[in-house]
Amino acid sequence: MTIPDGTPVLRLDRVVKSFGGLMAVDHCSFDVEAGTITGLIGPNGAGKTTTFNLIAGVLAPDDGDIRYRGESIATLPPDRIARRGLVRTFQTPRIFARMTVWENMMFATPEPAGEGMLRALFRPAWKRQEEKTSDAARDILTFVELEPLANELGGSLSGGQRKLLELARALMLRPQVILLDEPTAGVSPTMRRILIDRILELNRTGTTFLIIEHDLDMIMRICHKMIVMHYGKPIAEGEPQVVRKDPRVLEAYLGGEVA
Amino acid sequence: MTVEWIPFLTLLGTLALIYSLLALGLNLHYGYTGLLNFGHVAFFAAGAFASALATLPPPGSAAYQELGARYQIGFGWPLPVGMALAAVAGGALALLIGATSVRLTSHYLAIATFAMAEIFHSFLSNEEWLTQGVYGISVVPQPLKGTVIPVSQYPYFYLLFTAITVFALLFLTQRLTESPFGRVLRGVREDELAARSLGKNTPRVKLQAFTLGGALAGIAGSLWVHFIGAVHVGQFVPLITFQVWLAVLMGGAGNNLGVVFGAFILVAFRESTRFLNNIPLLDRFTAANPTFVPSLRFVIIGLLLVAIIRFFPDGVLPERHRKAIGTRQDRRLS
Repeated sequence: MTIPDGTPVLRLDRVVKSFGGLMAVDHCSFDVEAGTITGLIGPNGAGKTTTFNLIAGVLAPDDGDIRYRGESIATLPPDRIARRGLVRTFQTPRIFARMTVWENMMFATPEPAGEGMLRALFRPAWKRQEEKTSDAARDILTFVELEPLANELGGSLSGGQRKLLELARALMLRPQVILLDEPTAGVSPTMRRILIDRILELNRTGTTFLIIEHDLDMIMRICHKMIVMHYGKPIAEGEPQVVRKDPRVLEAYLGGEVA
Repeated sequence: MTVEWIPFLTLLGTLALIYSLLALGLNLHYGYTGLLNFGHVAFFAAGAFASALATLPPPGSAAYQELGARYQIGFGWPLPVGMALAAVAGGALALLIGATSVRLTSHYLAIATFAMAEIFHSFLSNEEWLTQGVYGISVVPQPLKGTVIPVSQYPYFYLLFTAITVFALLFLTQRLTESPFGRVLRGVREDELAARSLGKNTPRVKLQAFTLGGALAGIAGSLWVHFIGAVHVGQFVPLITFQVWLAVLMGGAGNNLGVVFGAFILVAFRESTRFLNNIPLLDRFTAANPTFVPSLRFVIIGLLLVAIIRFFPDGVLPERHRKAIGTRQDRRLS
């Protein structure tokens, strides 16, 4: 079942997460509408990455609920959330350094053939699936222009290539929603253009994105909606042009005294 | 002193094969899954005792009387049953230790496994009804010895038997690690959080790898105990764990053939340093200082490790990198 564009595919409902005395995420509520690109911005320490970790299941919320396609995922572990089609990338790319680019892709296959201990021993049981997965991997690598590097080690890639590989690897899971944590930070201009083009192209074919980004010009150009977080909760949300003029946003970014 | 080469090489080969199996188990843990297991000897011991108790003639039987033994448990089952039980014992102990500690990361896991192995060692020392404590059991059956196979030929027979067992297990391990399952293990090794975020149930996968490696070490225990014909807790010291680590690191973590090779280097060096006494000038030192040669053996093994790490940081046979399988077009052509 596909959810029509515009309805929330992901909904945070008064989510709370504190570390000791620090309230990192403080009754945070927002929606991500299906088929959109939503930007999540805010000053350092606003709780953006913690919010990502809560959505992805790396952290469990202390209170509140997170719903994905109408079902609560607040208590699910990260692997089950990923298998449901909600996949994330990391601020610092976490690629498998001592595995080839191709293997990084193959790893992410959602098909379990040959991943069980017993079936693994019987090659005929998974060989065909492996070929199909490999073809899919090549197609996606071609899509992000990494195909020529298929046999290189993950650890030999540049920062930008790692970001691309992380996105490509996430695509292997055929996700409905992708969470990107600073996709263009530290990425060369050429690579950045490829990345943004691919995000826009995937979005046109129906993939929903929630993107943390510090490059405000870039995120404002590509996103449909922006959510500004400050001290663990959204202080403004809406269309980029509106949000950028919001006095609360200027205050959060520039500091109270200046504004 | 002249060396009898054939018996010496037979001994060396059998020991090296047993260490190979231990190394294959640790390689599943560390080389493939990145689990720092510093308690490997416990699985070896579990397998050794399981196999010994399974195959010993039952107390009260005629064979028991004949041996004049004192142990309290024996089932008189055939060796294959003993080996299977050794695998189960090693695997079950690994499952038990793993279930409580495999979620720990890196060095925390190292400390936990080391401690668990020590606990298991004390358990074996103290539960005399099971293990005969520090006395051990010196009448562990050596199947077919003196009946089908003449005593003088037995070492060669046992070498062959060990070789077949170890190579069969090497083949199966290789099958497993060169499959999507093995790929999942290596992903967990590289970055567990990334692996989990890509939909893999990493705690379960780690536990599976830990159990399988423990089972391999258990089988090694079985091969060892019937080779020696005796079992006692004093055989299972932490030094064994570290020697297996040495074999894995020297041979090449993440490469099954590599760690087997590493086990052979280790055992060859360790056993051949016994001949230091025969070196002309050294014997003058040894006459005055009996601990000189034993100490020198460790120095030499230490130097070997340093040299290998210096010249082969990834082991003599490093992990190889898996290239992409052919494209659609390639497959159509072939």
